[in-house]
Amino acid sequence: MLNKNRIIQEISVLYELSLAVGNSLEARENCQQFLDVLTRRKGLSFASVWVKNSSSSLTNNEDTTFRLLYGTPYSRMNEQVIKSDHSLFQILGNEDFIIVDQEPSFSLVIQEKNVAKGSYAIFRLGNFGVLKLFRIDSAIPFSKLELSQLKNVVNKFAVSLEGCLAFEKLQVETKERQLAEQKLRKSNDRYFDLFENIYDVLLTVDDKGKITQSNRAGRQLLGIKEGDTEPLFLKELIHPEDTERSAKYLKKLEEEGYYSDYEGRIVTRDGEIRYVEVNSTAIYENGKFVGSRDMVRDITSRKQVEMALRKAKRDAEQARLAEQQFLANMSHEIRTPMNAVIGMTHLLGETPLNTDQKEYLDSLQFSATHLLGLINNILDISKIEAGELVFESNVFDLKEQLQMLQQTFQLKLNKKGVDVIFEVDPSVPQKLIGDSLRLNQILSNLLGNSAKFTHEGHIGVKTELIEQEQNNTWLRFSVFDTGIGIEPSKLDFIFENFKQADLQVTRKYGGTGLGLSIVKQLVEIQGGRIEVKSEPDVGTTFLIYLPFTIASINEEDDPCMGGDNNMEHKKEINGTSILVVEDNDMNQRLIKRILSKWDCQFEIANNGLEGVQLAQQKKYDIILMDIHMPEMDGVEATIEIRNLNSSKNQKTPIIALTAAALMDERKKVFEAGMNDFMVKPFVPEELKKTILKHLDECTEAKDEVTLSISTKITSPKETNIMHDLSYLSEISGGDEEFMADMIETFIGEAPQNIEELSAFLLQKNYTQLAKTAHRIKPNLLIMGLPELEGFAKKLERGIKEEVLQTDQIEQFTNELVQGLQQKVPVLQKELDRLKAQL
Amino acid sequence: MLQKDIDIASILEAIKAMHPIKGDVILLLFGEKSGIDYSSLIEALNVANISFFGGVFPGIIHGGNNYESGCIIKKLKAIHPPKLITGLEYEKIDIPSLLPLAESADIKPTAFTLVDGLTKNIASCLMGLYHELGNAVNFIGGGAGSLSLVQQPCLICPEGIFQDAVIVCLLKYDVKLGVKHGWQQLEGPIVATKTDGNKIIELNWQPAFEVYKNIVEEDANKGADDGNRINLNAENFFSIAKGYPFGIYQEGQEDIVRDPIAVNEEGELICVGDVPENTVLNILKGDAHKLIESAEVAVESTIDQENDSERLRHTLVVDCISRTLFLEDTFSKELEVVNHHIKSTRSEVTPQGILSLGEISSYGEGTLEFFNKTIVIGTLYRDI
Repeated sequence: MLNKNRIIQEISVLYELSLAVGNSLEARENCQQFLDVLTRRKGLSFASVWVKNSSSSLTNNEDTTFRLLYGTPYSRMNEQVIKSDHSLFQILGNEDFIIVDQEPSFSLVIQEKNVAKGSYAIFRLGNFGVLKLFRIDSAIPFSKLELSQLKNVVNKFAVSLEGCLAFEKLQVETKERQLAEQKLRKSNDRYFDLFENIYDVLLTVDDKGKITQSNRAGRQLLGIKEGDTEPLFLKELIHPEDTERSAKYLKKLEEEGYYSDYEGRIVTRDGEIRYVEVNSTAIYENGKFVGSRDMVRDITSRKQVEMALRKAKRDAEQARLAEQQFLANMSHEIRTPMNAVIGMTHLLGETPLNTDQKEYLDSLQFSATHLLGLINNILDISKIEAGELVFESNVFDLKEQLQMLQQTFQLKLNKKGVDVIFEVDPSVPQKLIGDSLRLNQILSNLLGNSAKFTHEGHIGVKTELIEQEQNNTWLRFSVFDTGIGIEPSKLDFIFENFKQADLQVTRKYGGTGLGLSIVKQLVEIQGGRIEVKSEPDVGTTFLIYLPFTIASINEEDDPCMGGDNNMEHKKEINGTSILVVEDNDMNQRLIKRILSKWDCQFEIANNGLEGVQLAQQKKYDIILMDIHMPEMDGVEATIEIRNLNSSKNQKTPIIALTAAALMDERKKVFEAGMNDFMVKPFVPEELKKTILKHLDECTEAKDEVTLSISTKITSPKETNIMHDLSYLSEISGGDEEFMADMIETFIGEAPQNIEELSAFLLQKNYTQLAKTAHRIKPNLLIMGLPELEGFAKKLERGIKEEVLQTDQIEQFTNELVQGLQQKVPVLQKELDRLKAQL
Repeated sequence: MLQKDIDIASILEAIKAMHPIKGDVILLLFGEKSGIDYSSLIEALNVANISFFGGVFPGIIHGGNNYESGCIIKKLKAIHPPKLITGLEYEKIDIPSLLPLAESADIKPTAFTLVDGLTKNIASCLMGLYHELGNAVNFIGGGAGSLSLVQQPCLICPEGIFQDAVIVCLLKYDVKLGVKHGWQQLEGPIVATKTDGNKIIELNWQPAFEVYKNIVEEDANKGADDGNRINLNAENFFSIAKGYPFGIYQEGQEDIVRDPIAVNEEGELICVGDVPENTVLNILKGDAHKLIESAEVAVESTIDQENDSERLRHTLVVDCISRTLFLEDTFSKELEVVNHHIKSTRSEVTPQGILSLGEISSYGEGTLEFFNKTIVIGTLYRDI
């Protein structure tokens, strides 16, 4: 039986211990207070509290870990973590407490440093941990009675500790949540800063179209004042004329979740009209559309600039068109009577004439020819400046051409006693491919000058080979004379338009001052260059360097290569049925005369409309078509003839006869579907050749050569083929990697192009449709898809000129889209093939 | 050695004569009436490149005598230069890492610990040291300062002279400790129902002074005439209370003595050292014979019969200044008992030490404790 004092002591220990429990919500502090008292009052060497890392039950066999929550003194603690399969728990089993002071268990529960003999007391702490106490051997060993006394207060400690742990967990979670909230708040602040201060207008709009949020830029744009509480609706803002269009976008937003690049006008609260570009994203809640987030950009300034630019461009285009029209008209108006004059002179020459009449006629012929030369010079300059000069690629005999030139000038200068000397280096190839007419023009012009300024001595041309690599050659033509020469100070500007060496010269020798300028530009456009050396009273030499292609034997022999003046045509012209569409009476007479002479069968139509009607009634071998005509012009007539199913002449070669020699005109006639082009006034023999050329079977191939321009890159054949990569191959110089790259780019862009075309068609946004057509047009040509390019071209032009009906636009767009869809897989195969070779 | 009439030069000379080498530390224990300029002394010791630590105490002990002035100079083998811990006036104290040093030694080191005996937070500082070192070392030491109970700089080391500080030095000796006080229970158990550090506010849910006064007066006035009855009050508190200390109850061990030294205006009792709240206290009463007997028990327990007496190198005595005040003339008997036991074990060794303001010692394997009115004796052993 314990004595009274002892009981009081025992109770006082429990009293002190129980008051040490639960004084803090902090688990470690709670442990510290409890263990400090326990250690002191019970004379312990050390004590420790271990708790589970997870909240699972201590009694189940889950593999969990326990961590050291608190140990006193710390320096005695050896381990920080133990597993639930540790001997400690096995020895504790299901007991509330145990005493471990005997081997082998004793050694198994030692986790601390420097432990000699003694006894452990281990208490279960609820379902979440254990309390471990140690007393050394020299002190009183633990007894069951002692531990039984402690059990209740230890249980109290366990409950309190469990509360602390739960509280700490809550604190951690709260802190984490607070941190997350803080982070979110910061993020929101950052977002708000960005939202508020961004240059663009950002709006949030609800499903009723009410603006629920707007940044500073937005408030400024929309004219919302500070403290303005009245709600603002989109419908108030949208310009009345844009209401219908914007409604479509809003519908798209609701259905598809977004729209982009809407451009329209708004009327701000201040009544100001602004142009805006809007990109919107829909907001859905539980799948229901509840509003949108919109980014609005004020593009008023841009629009104003655009409008000004458009107007300026329109004005410039109008001015350019007017200029070209003027030139075309000039050309037409002068050439038409000149045609009659020269033609009639030619016809007159074939009638019996007396000597005087013959002389007058010669004079007339000379003057007419001279006048035509002057007109041609002026037109050449205009064409050069407009970049519309066309160079042809023909096979020609250089030596023969030079010989003729020599003879012409020798004949002219015989009376003057000036010799005309032509030297051709033996290494110069005889047959070349190039524009022989332009070469002739260049040399004639220079020789003409030489002849003009040389009174004794000689003039001439020396031709040398400068460089040759495979079929490409550079020739130098030195046009020399022993004339009056040019002052060194004047040499710098003799090639400028309308400049001659000096006014006295002009007065004495005449001329327009255009000759040398034309020569220089003709040389340079062909990639060549011109130099001049001159010494007053000694003479002048012009050095012209020009590139040519050497004609191969095959090309020489192939009549299809064209340009050969002496070629034989398989067909004869007599008996050919020809429709002549020409409004000019004199020209009608001229053609009638010529065709009659050739024994052709022909009919005359006085304008395009008549021509179309006649073409519907009868099949012709050839149609000669004037361009500028009343009622219906030649271009329209040709389109009608080509498009009418009832036409009997859908495939009949049509040769344009026009006085307009401008590039645009030429383009137009080919686009309309004509096959060739004759510039009035024409020499009857040339017309004959052209007619015969188209009657031959090889017409198409010949067209190709005749139409090719100075770039020497032939466009893909405009025939109904799947695709023709020869053009791409040619422009890439056969570089297959480049080709693959181009095809890949084309294929990559195709889906977007298809989508755009379809979308714009659906939206009836024809301006954009035309823009897209324009953008993809050159790509189609590069890919050798001329048919599709044709559709693109028709769309672009037709929409621009507002000549297409809605159903036509639909038809052409569908053709283009379907064509693209069909061609892409084919091109993909080509791409795969090319890639396989790389 | 003991130097009674000291100045800086003589101290330096005495130290030089000891030929300290690397690993030696000089322990300097001054009686508070030594009249030394400690700053100059520290400077001189630093110039001489001497590793040292020590303090100023109400008195010093040499053999069977105690002195209010003079200096004990001891050359000891240390594991490391002394560690100074300052800032005890604040609750949060940074304890330096000492365990690796302690564990590096081939013996269990003795942590000689000197603390400003009049600072706050001694208990939490000692708890910190205990947590850091646990039973890897044995602690012995005491509180420095003045018997006037006025706090002043009292701990010296190469860094200077400090108050509100602790100096710890791990010495390369085994120690056998003896801790005893001999005070007997007069009244108890009494529950310290409300305390605040070293202040007892309530005892048994009543004002502390009231409870204490009743018990003390009852005992003190036993058999006294009415005219000679003692009335305990603030003025006579110190002189009467020195005979009636508190004992904090310990399971199976002597109570830990807490010396009440004053009562404040609120009726709270001020002690040397903390009194845990809700702990069970006894009020103790002293008896000269019992006290001296306890010193004898303490010193006996420091003498290891199994050890070769040649290994006995030093005996450090930390005796509470209040024991001298209580024992008065008989105090010399206590010291003589200690001196006699040591000398009879090894005549070359003279017990030396301090009259302290609180005593420090490991207590069994338990918490490092701060005692009052206790004698702590540590005998240091070391292989030759």
